[in-house]
Amino acid sequence: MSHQISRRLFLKGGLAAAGTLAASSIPAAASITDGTGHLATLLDISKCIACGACVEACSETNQSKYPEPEKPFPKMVPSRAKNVDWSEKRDVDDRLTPYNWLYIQSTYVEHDGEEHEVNIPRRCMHCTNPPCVKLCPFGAAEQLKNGIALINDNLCLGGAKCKTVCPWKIPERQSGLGIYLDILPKFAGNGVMYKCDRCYDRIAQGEQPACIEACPEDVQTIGPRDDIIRQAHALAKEMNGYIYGENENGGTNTIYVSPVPFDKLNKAIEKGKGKPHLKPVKDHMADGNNLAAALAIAPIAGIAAAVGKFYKMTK
Amino acid sequence: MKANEDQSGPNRKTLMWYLYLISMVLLAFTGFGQMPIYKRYYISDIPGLAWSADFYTTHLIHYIFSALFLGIAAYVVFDHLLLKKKRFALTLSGFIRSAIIAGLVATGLLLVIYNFSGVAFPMWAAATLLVAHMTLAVALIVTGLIVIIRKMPWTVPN
Repeated sequence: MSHQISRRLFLKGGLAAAGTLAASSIPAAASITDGTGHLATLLDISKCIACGACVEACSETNQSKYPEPEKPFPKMVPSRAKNVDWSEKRDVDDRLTPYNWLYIQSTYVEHDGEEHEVNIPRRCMHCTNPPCVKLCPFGAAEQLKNGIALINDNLCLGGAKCKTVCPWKIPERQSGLGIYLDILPKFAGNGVMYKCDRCYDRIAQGEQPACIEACPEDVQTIGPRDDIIRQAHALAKEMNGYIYGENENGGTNTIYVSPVPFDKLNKAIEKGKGKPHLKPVKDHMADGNNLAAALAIAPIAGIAAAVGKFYKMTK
Repeated sequence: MKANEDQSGPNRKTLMWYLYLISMVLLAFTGFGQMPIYKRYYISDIPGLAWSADFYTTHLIHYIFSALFLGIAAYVVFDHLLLKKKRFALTLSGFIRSAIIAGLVATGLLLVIYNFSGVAFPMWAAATLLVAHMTLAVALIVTGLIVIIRKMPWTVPN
């Protein structure tokens, strides 16, 4: 991955250089990604027949990105931290794992007196403001300009904060590899987190994500988010259906359209570890960002107090 | 001149000094709590500290005390510039602490901007910023311990 930082290079980087870079270069490097730049996917789940072609294509395409851990794993201290090993269960495809970034949730639901078989391809939602990226304490995840949320396996310590803050608990950990082995393997970190990167490398070359290309039923469409939202509303109107992902967690770049309400689907699907829900999700980053106004007002109040004191004492 | 008035800024044990201390302690605690360590190391098992394992809660508390800290910092800086600059000079340790705090404020504000929807930093920039913020926090704690032990003031009379 050419755009990623080599972990050894990163570790060798001087702190003075880090500080200088932080102070001087970041504003120039920052970019605005809102709306226009994001690519979103539309999933018409009325079309999905659970053939598994997308799951298979994802696995084949991303083989080179899958973890190859070193064994034996370090003994974790304290023992509350457990090693997680999926390397002997690479074929598991009925949930999300570090070796399976996409799976299909299948269920039967009754709606309007009709029984529906519903199959839902599930993977990372690629939130428009992804907590996994924004709250990673080491900056090991990145949101690309096209909206893809990406974890850097060279920088990730496997602490799983991204999973904890993800409203759908999408990222999955594999122990026994990553930068933590070079630092304090027993005491800090525990591997690397993995999830769908929406085939960012294929998209960079003008190709479609493997799951979209392989689908024989054209379940998925990819395009600029605004267009996808318009298409989703048109499709929902046409099928008298329902939308999920447009506003969840402040908006995602994965938009599902279903003939069955998502609250019914959420009750019907199997949920749990590696099996995300379909509940409504509030914007998890909003509370903090709303407080940012206080950060702007507080210094003004401080200056006003100092000026008031100065005026009082010099009057 | 009364006792304690031979120094300016946060040297005096005023309400401002206690607010500064409280904000520093909580900023450090919630700041380090952004790393997934409090649950792993049983800190959140301590009665009354279960919230420390909730990253959104520690994130909010960090923002609240950042606002308090910025208010105090702005007051102290302007109070010094307007009223005390002629009578008091910054010591070397005061200058070092001020520089570290300025670095923390700059990197912290950039991180606040980073958290807004629609703002993306390249991975190297976000990682650099986070490591710089964390390193400056450690530097401030170490410096703080040294100045407390050696009773070094921020300012001295001219």
